[in-house]
Amino acid sequence: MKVNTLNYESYFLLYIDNELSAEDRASVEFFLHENPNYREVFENLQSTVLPREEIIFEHKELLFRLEQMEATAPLDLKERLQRKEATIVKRNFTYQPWLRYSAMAACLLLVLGYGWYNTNAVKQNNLNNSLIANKENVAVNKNTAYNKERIEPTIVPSSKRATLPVLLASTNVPTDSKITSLPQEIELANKKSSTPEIIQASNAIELVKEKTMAMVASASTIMEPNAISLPSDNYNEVNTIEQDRTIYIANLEIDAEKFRGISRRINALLKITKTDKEK
Amino acid sequence: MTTSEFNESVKEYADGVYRFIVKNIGEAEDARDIVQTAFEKLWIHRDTVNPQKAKSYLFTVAYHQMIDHIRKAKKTNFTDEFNIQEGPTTYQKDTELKQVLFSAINELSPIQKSLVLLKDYEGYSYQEIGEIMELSESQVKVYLHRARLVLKNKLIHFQKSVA
Repeated sequence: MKVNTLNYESYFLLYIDNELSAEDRASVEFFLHENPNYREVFENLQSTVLPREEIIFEHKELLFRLEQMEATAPLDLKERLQRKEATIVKRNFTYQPWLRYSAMAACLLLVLGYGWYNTNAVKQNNLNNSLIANKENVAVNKNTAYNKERIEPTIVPSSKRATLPVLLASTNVPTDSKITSLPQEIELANKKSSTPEIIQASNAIELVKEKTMAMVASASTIMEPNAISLPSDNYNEVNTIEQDRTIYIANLEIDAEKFRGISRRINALLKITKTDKEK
Repeated sequence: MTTSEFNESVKEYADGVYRFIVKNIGEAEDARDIVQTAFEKLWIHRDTVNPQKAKSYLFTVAYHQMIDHIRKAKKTNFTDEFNIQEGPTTYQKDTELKQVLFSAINELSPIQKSLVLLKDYEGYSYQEIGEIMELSESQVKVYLHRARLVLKNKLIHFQKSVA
């Protein structure tokens, strides 16, 4: 028997606070059963226990937290993403010294190769220049021959001859295919002006000019596409010289301008590498 | 502690923590602020707080917040305010004895009041109350028993005066 008249109050309070074991609770209940005069004390103490009361915290949804990506995203996905990032970073920062040396060697080879080619190219150029000169002579001869065929009937002084072929060339060549009557008329005109006198010749040239201009104008009105294509046909003869801008290296034909571009780039690269070395 | 576990603890414990605080300080808005602060701290420390210990964590934080609040306010007559605010809505239907009990509780010290509230409303053990209020188990026992005896005497005094 634990509960007695000396310690009943403490046991009653512990009973009310639900701090006793099942055995002690039974002993308290037994004490009350044995001593009913203490029941009033017990009840008075029990009445101090606060009655259940519902007090609600309103709008508790304000305290809720939203589910975040972090909580819902699967872990393996995050790991995979992180791994990918890591590999990319590694690739960026791998430094291989042999790459640098090989790059330098390649540059040296290019320089030496360029030098060797250059010396060869000079020799070849000398040879080619003579060839080109010959070609040009041939071309000039051809031109003169072609012009002569047209101009021969007209006996024009050498000073005027230079301008006349150009005029004839510019007018005759494009119109040949389409306006067949033009050369004949020119020839007629030329035949008319076959007198050795200079004034007559000049008049003839003026006549030719007028006629050709008129013809060209009529042609342009009738067939506009031909008129538009006139200047482009003229360039063909002039471009014959530009087409010869080739450098012959052994059996290879290289365009000089392209080759210059490449050589400039190599030089620029060499400068960069030099500055890098200095640094 | 996951987000869903946190939200579950809001559903389960917000009312209890609020009741504990509002019964102590008697000011609904301040009590709400204290409850919000408690849940804020729980959210911040959710990684370290065991979900099973969330309730006692919330009561501990709320209790200390409340003590700070009482110290700052230095209110000597908040018992009267308590009756004015809570009286009309909750105690009109209650018996006279209950009203006397609640008024008697408001006359207790904040510690004694908290002990009674934690014991009767939340059913915490002496040990758990000691953890929340940073008291030893024997201290909880002694203080709570003293509070009960005070309340008992007040009730007896009222009953005698009525009779």
